[in-house]
Amino acid sequence: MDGGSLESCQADLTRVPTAREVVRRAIEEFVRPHQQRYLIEVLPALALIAIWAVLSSHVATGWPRIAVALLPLGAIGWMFAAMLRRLLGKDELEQRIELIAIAIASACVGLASLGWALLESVGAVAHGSLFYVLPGLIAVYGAVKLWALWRYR
Amino acid sequence: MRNRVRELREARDWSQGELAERLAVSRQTVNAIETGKYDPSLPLAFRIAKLFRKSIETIFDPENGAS
Repeated sequence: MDGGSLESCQADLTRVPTAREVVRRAIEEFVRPHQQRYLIEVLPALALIAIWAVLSSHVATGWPRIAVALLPLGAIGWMFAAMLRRLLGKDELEQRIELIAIAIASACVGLASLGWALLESVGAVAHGSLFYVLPGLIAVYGAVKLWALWRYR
Repeated sequence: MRNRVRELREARDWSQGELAERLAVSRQTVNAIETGKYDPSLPLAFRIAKLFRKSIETIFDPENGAS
């Protein structure tokens, strides 16, 4: 490698991307085919979840209550399948970033829930709800993915 | 691992986006390879070598790590 190319590589390692570059890259990612397909697949599931949010407060008794309570499972299952298809459409670095984010999110939520259960067993904390596991996974996954995207920017 | 991907790309006057399209990867991956933050898999290294009509060892140098 000649001196000029080496200098340009070193300069690029320390250069912080401008806001315009960040926006342009986000748009480039958004218009990639696997990303478009993912959005098309996920939108109906999100619409179903929105309908559930409205219905769940109006159905109070009997078997419809149980059916409505379980309604989001199908939509969320469909979303997971769409996420898997999206993951398989990514290239090797993107899949590596996803793996890091999923692994760290699983470890953090696993440790937090185990810690809570241990405290619960000695009566130090109130009975915890499983309702927070999925949002916790999504939140940690998102935070780790942002870090990984910055790391490999 | 140091590599000559940026040098070879610039010699052909391609943008990172154009190279990414030719290699069927994201622009982020091309940038990460060029800056030495990510070492490509063997199949991707072969695709890069084939695209630039060079051998892998003339593009990638395992003796010199990226800074």
